[in-house]
Amino acid sequence: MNALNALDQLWELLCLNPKEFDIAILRSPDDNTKNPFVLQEGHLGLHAGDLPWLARDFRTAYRTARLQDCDSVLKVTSCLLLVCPDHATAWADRKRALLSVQCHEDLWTRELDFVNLLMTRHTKAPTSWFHRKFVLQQRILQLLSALPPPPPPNDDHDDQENTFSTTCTTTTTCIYSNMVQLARDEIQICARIADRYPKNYYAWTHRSQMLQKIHHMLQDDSTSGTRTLADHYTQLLQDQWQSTTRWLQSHVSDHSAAHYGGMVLQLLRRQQLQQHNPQDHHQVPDNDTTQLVHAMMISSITVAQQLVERHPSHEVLWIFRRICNHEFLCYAMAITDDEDDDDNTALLLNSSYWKDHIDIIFCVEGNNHDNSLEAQRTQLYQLSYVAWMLEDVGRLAKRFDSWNDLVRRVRLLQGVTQQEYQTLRNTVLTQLRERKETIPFYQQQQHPQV
Amino acid sequence: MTTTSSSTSIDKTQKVSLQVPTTTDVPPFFAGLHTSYIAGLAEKLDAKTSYEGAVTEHLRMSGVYWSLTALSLLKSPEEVDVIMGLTAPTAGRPISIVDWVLQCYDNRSGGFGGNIGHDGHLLYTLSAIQILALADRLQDERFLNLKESVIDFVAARQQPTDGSFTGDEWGEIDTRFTYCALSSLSILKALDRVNVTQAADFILSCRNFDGGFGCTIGAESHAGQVFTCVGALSIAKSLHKLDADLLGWWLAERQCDSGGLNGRPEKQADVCYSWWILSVLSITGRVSWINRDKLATFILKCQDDEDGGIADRPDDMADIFHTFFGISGLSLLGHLHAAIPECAPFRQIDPVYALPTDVVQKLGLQGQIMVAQEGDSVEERLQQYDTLTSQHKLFQ
Ligand SMILES: [Zn+2]
Repeated sequence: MNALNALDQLWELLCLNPKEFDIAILRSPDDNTKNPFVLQEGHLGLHAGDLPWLARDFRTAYRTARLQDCDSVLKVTSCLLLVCPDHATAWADRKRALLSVQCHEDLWTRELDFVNLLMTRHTKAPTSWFHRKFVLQQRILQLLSALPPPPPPNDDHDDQENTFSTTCTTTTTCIYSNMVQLARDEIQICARIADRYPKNYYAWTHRSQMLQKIHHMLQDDSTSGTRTLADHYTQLLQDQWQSTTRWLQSHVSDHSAAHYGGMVLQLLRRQQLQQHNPQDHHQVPDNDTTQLVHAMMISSITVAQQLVERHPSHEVLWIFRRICNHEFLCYAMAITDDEDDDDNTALLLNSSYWKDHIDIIFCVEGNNHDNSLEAQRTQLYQLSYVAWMLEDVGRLAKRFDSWNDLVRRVRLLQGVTQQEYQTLRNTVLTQLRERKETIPFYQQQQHPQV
Repeated sequence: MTTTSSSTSIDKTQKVSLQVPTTTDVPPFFAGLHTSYIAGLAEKLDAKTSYEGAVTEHLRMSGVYWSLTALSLLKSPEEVDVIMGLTAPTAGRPISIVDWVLQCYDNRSGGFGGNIGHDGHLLYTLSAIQILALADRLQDERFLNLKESVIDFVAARQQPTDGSFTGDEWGEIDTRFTYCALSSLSILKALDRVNVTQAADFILSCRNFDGGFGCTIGAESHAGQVFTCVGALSIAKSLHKLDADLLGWWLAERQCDSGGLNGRPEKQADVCYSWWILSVLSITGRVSWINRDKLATFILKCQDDEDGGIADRPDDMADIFHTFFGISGLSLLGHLHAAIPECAPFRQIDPVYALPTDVVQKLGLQGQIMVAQEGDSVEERLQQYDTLTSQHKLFQ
């Protein structure tokens, strides 16, 4: 088969509905035909043995096609990128071609379909992920172009302005709902990719950027529609927190997910803060969000604790606990900023936070007889976790004049004296050093003064 | 973290003690095999049946840079030149590497592409400049004619909004590109063409709660990205903005039971992180925070003892990427020079610019490094840099 035939044949297959199949690389050819492509049972199969010559021939065809019309460029790069997904110049030519063809309504949606197909197989090519972002940005611009212009600065005609605002709000609300839906679709695709290709850095980063994108829109935009967007967004963040903690229960070594969970908490925290200190008169403090975020911050501590109790030998879950505690401390700092903070908050935050950490040390001490590798590793994670948490508190303390000032501000530390803090830290470090001839890091640290 | 500059108080005669594993089950370093592996690579990639060659054509520039640098740590500059056909064509090749690099210049953008006819990109522009530096051809007239356009290309990548850099005209932002830009401009003595402070501040905005860095703001910490971020801060002489203790803790936790380093928690150890992590520990004066013997052993076990080359992990297939990182890692550990006496007159790797130290010194490249505690000695290979003493505060 010559290159032109292979190219035409693959292109024909790609022009079928690409949503309905994925790409598979066939290691041992199971048919004797000379056909390099197989389409069956929802898979577009490429024989591994054919890839070198396909790549070479597609590249040759690409060199000619890039000097031709947009359609040729789109056709040839579709084929080439399926075998060389990180070919930056081919992606660039593709962008040029897409931008120059007559912009029809579903141009960018269809391009997303192609990227989705490619990502059923290739998930680690940074340029392909950037292309995805580029296409989404075009799609968002397309959506936003329907936004009504900002209201005219005219104070004399109240009635007229109200009618204007109502129409605007309806359109704006609709557009912003579409935006959130777009983010939800992206998140779902990222979840599917992360399920097939665990711990995929790019998928999780993209997913988190979707959330950050809306966060920035909320920050930048103060039109009347942002309230709707904010509500949708809070709901989205809440859903993301639920799905991420559920994910961690079955993907106990997935640090990408743990980091993403932390990002969700951080965005929730900032979302609440933003609504607390509205920069413009459109936004009023929203008690629902405040309570929701508060409940979630409190429960995150418990969720993280339950996860490590269930799978104590997983480093990632101990790190997730670090993350949740860190976010919790930041949150505790922020809310006790308010002078009129009620005592309920303090009580809730106070409950058993410190005791839980002391319990970890007792638990390690009680398990000293177990010398299995898994037990040793668990003990290491437990102790490192407490050391990390204490360090985090210690760093926080440095921002205050005295320990008492810290405790006054961060009420979850109420009742803990500086002496108790020092003692606990010394205990942890001593225990770590005893276990650590193999890891020099803790040995390097000087003994802290009591 | 309190910091004081103390570049004058370093005792230049002091050397960091070299650690050589003494146990018998540690394989030797196969310098000869790696040399022939690298020397034969181009031919292998150009073979019609090579999958590797077919799918990596567009990043050939980086492959050539990895090959040259790895070989430079094993052979004299003269030998490297002959083996690779660096400045004059070697047998069977129509043109020298330098000629080929110059042909990869992309007139439209002003940058270098990954191969002839490709769009200019920061990744390959840095590799091209590094190759020219290795070949001592930065003063080549043909390059001097392009130099201003190349500088323009790199400088134009900086975003005025936040100081970040895009890889090319399309706007992808990544902390890797900040490193590529600062390193390129530093080598071309044109750092003043960008806002270095803003570039460093962008890097810092990508720092996570764990002290590590990701590819963009809010992205998960990744040891590979950590190198590009700390390297950029070093070139920007902004290491005082780094929380080196917290970062060092996170990096030290990347060492696995096998002795190898992973790039993220609960991922498999991989030879490439020997370079990414060791270079950062070296820049921040904290190499002793990991077990060096165990790491050297891990790297040595990833060698192909028949055909040469180093793989990502034991028993995997060797590739040039991991060969470069393995050899450079051993160099940073001080193992290379201790293990093979015949290499002693040759070169060591520089952790900031990823070039042989003598190239960095000859070009007078600027940067900053740290010592973890007052009184710590500075490795000989780092002595051309400004030194920052960080009084480390962890557990204090
Ligand atoms: Zn690797």
